[in-house]
Amino acid sequence: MKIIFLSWFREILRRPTLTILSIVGVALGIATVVAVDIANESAKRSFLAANETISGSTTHRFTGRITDELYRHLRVDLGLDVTPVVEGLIESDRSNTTQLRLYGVDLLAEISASSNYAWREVSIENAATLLSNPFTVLVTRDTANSLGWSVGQEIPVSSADGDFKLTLIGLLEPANPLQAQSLRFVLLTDIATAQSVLGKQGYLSVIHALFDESVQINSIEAFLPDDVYIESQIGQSDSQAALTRAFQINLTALGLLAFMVAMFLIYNTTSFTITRRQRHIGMIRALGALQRDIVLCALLEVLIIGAIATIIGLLVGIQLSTFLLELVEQSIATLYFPILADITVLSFVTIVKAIMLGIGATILLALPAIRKISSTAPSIAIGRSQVETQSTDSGSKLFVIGCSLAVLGTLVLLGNQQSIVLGFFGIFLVVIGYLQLIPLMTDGLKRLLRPIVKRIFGVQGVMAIRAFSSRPGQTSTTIAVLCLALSATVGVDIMVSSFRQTVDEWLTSRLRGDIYITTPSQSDSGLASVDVELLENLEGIASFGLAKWAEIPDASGTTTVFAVDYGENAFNGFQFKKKADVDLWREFNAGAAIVSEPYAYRNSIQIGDTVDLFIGRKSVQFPIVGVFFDYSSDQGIVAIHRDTYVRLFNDHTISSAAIFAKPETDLQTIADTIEQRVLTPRARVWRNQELHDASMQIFDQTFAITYVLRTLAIIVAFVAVLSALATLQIERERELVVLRTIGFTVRQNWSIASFETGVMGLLAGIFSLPAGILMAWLLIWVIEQRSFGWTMKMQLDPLILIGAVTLSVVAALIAGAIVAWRKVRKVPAMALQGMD
Amino acid sequence: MASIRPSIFAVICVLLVTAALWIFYSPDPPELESSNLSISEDILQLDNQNFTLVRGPREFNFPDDHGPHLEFRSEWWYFTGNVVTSNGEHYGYQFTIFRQANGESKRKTHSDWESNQIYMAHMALTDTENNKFYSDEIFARGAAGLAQVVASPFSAHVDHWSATGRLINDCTGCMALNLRAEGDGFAIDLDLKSIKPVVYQGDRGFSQKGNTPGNASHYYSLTRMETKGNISVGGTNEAVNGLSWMDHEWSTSALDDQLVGWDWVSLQFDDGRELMYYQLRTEDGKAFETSEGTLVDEIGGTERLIKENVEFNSTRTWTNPSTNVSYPVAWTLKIPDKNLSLMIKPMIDAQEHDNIFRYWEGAVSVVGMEGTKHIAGSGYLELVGYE
Repeated sequence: MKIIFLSWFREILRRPTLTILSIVGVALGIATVVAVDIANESAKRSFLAANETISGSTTHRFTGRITDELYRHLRVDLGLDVTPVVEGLIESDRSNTTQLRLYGVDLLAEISASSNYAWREVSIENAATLLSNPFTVLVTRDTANSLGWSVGQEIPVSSADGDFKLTLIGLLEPANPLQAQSLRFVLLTDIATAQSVLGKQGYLSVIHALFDESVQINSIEAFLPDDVYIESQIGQSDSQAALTRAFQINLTALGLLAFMVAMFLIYNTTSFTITRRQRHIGMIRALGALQRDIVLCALLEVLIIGAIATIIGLLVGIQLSTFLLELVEQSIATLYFPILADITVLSFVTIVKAIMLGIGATILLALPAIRKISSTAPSIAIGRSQVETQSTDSGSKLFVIGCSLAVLGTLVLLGNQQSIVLGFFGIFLVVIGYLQLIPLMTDGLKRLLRPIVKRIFGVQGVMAIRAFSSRPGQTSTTIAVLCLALSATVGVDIMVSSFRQTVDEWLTSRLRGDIYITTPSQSDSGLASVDVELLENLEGIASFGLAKWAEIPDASGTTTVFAVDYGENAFNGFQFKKKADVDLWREFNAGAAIVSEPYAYRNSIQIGDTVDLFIGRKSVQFPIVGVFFDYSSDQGIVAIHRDTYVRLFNDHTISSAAIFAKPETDLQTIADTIEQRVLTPRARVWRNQELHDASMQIFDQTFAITYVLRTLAIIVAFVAVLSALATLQIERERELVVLRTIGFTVRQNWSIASFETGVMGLLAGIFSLPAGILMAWLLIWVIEQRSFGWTMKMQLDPLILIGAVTLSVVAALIAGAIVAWRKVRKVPAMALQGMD
Repeated sequence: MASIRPSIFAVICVLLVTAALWIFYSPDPPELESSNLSISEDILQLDNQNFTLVRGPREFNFPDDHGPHLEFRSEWWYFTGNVVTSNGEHYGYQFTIFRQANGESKRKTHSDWESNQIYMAHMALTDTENNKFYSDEIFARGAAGLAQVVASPFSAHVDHWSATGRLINDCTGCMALNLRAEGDGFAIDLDLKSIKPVVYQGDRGFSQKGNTPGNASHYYSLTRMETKGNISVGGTNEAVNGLSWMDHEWSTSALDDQLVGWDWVSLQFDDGRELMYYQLRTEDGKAFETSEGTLVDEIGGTERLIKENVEFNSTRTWTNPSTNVSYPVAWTLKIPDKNLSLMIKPMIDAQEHDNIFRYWEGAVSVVGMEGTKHIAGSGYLELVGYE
């Protein structure tokens, strides 16, 4: 037995290249999965940490129009464990886009409260200092460093309410990176200062509460004013987490694609690892080795490869994840709010996943090959080709399996219209099913190509094509790996470009005004009435419309309401997915609502249904006459006429204005005039194109990580192809050498090898197109719809398709060239004897 | 092709395994719970000049003087008491409201929350029977209705902990009060009624603490207040009655630099008399010269006790194992002139407030001899400035 082991592992050392390639292949697959996993998990942790550091581990929170007096009543009269917050975004400099979060707390209450706040340990003396000295703030050392602030410095800031000077009186020393990160760009201050700077005197943003079982929520609700709401904080953090969930799901989707590619890669490399030993196995079996010995040796080898690859994969994955994290952070910041996800969390689950993939999957995927090789009679094994022949006739079987998988996948997709996980599973089945068809398609295309190739490239071309037939199993697996990786990139590319195109068109259609004035959504007051007067009297303006973005409570939380009066022309900018058979504009004017597609999707709303909004405790029903396309919010919005809104909610404030210029007026002049005269602090004036471009820029930032993951998939695919082709070519070594001995030149062998890999690349590229389009289609219709509720028009950009095929061919040629370069120069006699 | 030498292969394997171990055994990501935020530096200069120093006796005027004296920096209303249940189970309680003012800032916010008054309330309960001590503290600013003391009708509250009351006719400064507070796992709801007149500590209520002029306080007490009400511990409610003691003291600056703390005791004897004595400690542990006290007779007549006439010595220390701070919890107090010798023992040893402000304050029993007469009683002992 010992002899067999030695012989077996001697063989590994004799040909380390293949082993190294196997390890690299498996390791890369694992690295990608690990990196995505870490990035995802870390982003989630950072998000939760940010939430917890700031709101503490509380059970409930009060929102709405909270007065100081309500808080006093809760805390003093009722003795409830509550703490107040007044918060809002401010800017440190008008030209600088860094948004800071002014977070006003009552440190004395925080210290007294039972809940666990990050600044619970701020000393009582320092709490008192902050309290007794208005307009003073604390920030973390990190924040101070990155903003270039020092203790004692006066910081000019502006809020929706005006300009202020804050003094930095000390630095918060977070206990750990999580805390540091969640307090980044947070200016901790006393509640009095926050009220003053944010213009919220007399009111609080939020009350956090830690209630035990004895507290009767119902009895609290009973005396709350109509416009104050109490919600379970557990539910709240759930709903906040839901914001990032959709984003994470997409990230996971890409991770899963990488996982699929990795699986194929592993299958490919392990199968080769085993089958290349065929001759060696035949020999040692002929010398008396038992079948059991062979299986043990093969398993051991695969295990070692898997283990080493797992370790490398983990290491590389961790490195890679830090890079990914930056992008995750950027995306979340763009989509939701600024957080900094720069802590890598290597969870136990990730390690287990890596081990399962690296060792478990590797062994599992190697089993068929091991079984086959160990059961082959020695005499047959030494003559290599017959083993392969056995595997060829499974093409039709694969076809049946493939079709069944695809049908099953389709059934899964159709069976459950809501679940995102099942959506992925369905896509997975369909794509795997498709890949089973590759041997058959390869065979067909090969037949189709042969006459053409013969005419153009002569005998070398035919020989290259023929080479496929000698080991169709290996060839089609290699093609499948490349195809899968390519289709993933094609799929994601098409999805993103379709999405981008859709958003672009949507913006163009929706933004009908020539100039827009917007105010930050955090601003309570919005545009001042003097600004509206300015518009009324401005020359060059044909008309203008006003709108208000409001968060209105509904039965389950709050709804974003867009109360708009931009005129009929602008109303026609709404593109409707579904609409009632009425004059929409008239109905809209008469008090009907239209809802965005995600809103309709999330709330299962049909035309003719109503949407209930609360005015105080009273709910008002709005009939829904249309569902419009909208990509501004994945939570959905309800649009009503501003007149309706003002009438019902008695809220005259204005968030934004659309201005329609007279023909042939210089827009820049109007914009400049407005910019100079508008009195609302932080109001921004946009020309149509600027707003459009800014929106698209946000879109691109959001999807930056998608592009990176796609690139990763391509790299994995490239290595997969390299390793697969290398293995294939090393196997072919003897054949090429035979060709040399019968008179083929080095150059001719070169071209045979390159041609063969080139054709494989071409085939993989071609096969990847339907798969990629299919995947894009599924991603768009299944995943995006399910996670965001957005419909996108699928756009087939020919550049993406051509790019994929080119990439495939180039990758294959490079891989082939690298391998061939080494092999073709060998001295024929030595190579023929199998000597290195 | 040259094969890799087995030795190199082995080295690579070892390196990889080491790397793997490093990954597996890297410490867990830090947990959020362990908070350690601190403000690095206090760069603000507080303006002490605006506060009035206590420089001599004053004319007390009730009910006004039960209320806050905002022109002084610090102030406290101190309630301590020993009560028993109908079964004779003993409880000690402490309820204190502190006020501390910071210098006023020149910048104004126009927010109702702005305040330079910081209130703190401490509450403690000693469950002698079960050898348990409960303590809690809360903080609030003197604004937005969160904490406030009003003289008439008397009302003091920090958050939902409150002391409210009224003056009793025909007894200047005497009050009937309700104390109500709910701490972490315990609560009190007690009615107090003074049955003896106001006692002015020191020189007519002027209590010199340090040698520096101005290092003094105004200090008066209600030394005997009948007490009944309810105490709840761990969810069970007990009706209790007994005696309480109230102190009200205010100052701007009290201790000289060389003083590190004090030992204070209030005793209520079964014969209807009371005794208060405190010693201020210097860095070397000695009693400072301004240490003093008051002996109150049955009808409220007072006699000032000065350091020279009192021997106040600790007989036993107790160390809190969790904070590792030692306190002299048992004492003897002798007044040789009066032939008075008292032994003061804690009801239980563990009566340390281990909160943001750490000190020992607990119920004590007292026995002793006055000449040949046995005397006994209970009271409260406060030990501050031990580390």
